[in-house]
Amino acid sequence: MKRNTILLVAKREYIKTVRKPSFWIATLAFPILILIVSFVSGYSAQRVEEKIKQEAKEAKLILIVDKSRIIDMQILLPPFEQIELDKLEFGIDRVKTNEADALFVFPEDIQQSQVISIYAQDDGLINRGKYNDTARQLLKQSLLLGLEDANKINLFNQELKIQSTHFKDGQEISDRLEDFIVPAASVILYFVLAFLGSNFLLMSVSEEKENRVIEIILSIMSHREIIWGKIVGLLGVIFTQVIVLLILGGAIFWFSRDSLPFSIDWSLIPIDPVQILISCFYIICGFLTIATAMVGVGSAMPTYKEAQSFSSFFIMLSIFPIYFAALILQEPNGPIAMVTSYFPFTAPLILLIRNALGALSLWETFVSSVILLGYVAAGFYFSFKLFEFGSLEYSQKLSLKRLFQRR
Amino acid sequence: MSHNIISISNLYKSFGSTEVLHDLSFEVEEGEIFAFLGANGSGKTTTIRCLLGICKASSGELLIDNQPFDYSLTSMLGYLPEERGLYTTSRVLETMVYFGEIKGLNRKEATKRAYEYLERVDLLDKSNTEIKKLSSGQQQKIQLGITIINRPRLLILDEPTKGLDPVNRSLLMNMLTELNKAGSTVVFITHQMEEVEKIADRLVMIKEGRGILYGNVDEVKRQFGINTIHLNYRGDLPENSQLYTFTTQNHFAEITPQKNITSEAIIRFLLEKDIKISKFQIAAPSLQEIFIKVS
Repeated sequence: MKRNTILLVAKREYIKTVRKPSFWIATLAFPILILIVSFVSGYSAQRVEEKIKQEAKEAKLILIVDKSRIIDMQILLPPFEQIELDKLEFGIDRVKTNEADALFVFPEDIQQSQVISIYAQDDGLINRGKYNDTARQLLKQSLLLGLEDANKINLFNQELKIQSTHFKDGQEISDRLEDFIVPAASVILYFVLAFLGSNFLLMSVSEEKENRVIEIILSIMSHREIIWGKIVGLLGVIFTQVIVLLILGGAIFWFSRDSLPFSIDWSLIPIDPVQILISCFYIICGFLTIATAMVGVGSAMPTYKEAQSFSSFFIMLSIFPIYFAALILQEPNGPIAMVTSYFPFTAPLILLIRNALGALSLWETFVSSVILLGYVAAGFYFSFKLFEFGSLEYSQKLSLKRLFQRR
Repeated sequence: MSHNIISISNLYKSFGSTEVLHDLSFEVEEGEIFAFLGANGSGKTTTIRCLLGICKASSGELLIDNQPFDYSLTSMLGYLPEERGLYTTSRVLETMVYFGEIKGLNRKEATKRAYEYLERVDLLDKSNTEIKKLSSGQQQKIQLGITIINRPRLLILDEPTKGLDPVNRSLLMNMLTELNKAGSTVVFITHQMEEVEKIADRLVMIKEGRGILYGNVDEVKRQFGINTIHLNYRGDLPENSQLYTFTTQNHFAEITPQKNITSEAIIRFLLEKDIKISKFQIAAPSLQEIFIKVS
């Protein structure tokens, strides 16, 4: 009878894992982890915001179109320069060509609309709001000069909204919340795969080694079948986790939708199949790189405890990009983003973020994909080798010398 | 004509610069119980691992049923390694069924055989128990169960009675004999020589990776062993290194004749020395004695 050992191993791994209370604890605790990571990231962003405000003050030329006739000429000192009302298109062109840093438009009906329009050069995701305060302050300072007008006082007390339009390479780009749903989902999926999943794989390899069951298994199937079986089983576990998280997240969103500070128009979520396909590729490569590292560590170390402490090195490397996420968002093609895009364990997450921001050229997408595939191949090579040699070393760590001996 | 289910020829195996197996050759005939003997570290486990593809031989030919090992042979094999264990957090029945399935049985058949085995070893009531909650003896029974669930033609057991109490050891020996009678060839590694004398047809003994004894158990004993003289006596037993060596305690002596010296010559000498002999017996050497001498 033909055996499908990979599927049998996968099935066993799946059932064994989802039956554990630790699986459900980890799955339900994951949203909390995301909140903590968001907090760390938010703190980092706050620090960056201060830098952005400083950069806004350093603008060389900001054009003003004041249809509201509220802006006081006395305060329009450089870098501000008022242009004629019918020269709006000309002003926008000057921004597009980088002749001016930004253009503020104060509409005629500002008292009703309470909106200021800003046109500016795109300077990274984080920098997109850098002129918002400047525009508000400009209006408020002007209003302060004529406070005897009741309407102006009313406007002064309003929370003004900003309607901004950004350009990149001469093209208008969008920054709606809906645009970030798919990229955010892909980053979350990567975290689920890489960190929850890889830990289950490490536990599984270490368990077979600690329980001394591996030699029996190796007499029945090859080490490649065992590793593939575990990885496939684990993918099933992660799929279950994602479904649970989606249901959980969906339920939380549904019940709190009226009290959320934002609303999402699901029909506006952009679905770019190519970008999603590339993201999926990066996620799978990232998962396989970490998964093979976990197999290697689990095989080389005699106990799960020792394996866990050693594996944290790889986990730390993989989440390292989170600590400078704000910088990556601000400068997706900056030197840090470029270097970490090609380092084995940081590459998948960084490439995922840069792909979501549209910062990857076709050429770079191709090169990074080839390099990631190389890392995955190397990961499999070393994990197979470590498993071959290390899985039967029950009481000692596998030495490098032993690794390069003939089995 | 007998069929060799295992054939090992000129096996060499080195780990780095350390050679652990040197020109080892032996064959196991289908249907026999074959003992694989040697002191700790002599290379027995490495030989089996090479045979089953877990280790790669440096050179030599290793055949199972006339072909080198590959995983298509899994369904005819049962291997119980020395370093063995189980998925301790899994339940008894599901573990046995899992091993049955990966050895090629369908789920229904694996479940049926698992129940049959559990009944046979009196563990039917433990089928839904977590393995870690079983005693070590019960766990060993489960280990043997997963080894034989596919009713293997060739059963290889590395120290199967290690850690078992006398009752379970006897049970296991009986089961091996039964399996052999049902058609399985049994190869077992052991340090318990009385087990070999009790059930084995043939043996191979290795020392530092080299074969030193090989053949039918009785033949090996005849070929290698020198008969010893067991003596109850009175008087002072004289030394005579040209005729014999001896050990003595409480007027009982075990005398080992030197090469080409007959027991008659020794008795004649002792009578001449006025030794009063109350009991005299010529004993065949045990495998235990041979093992101690050669290893």
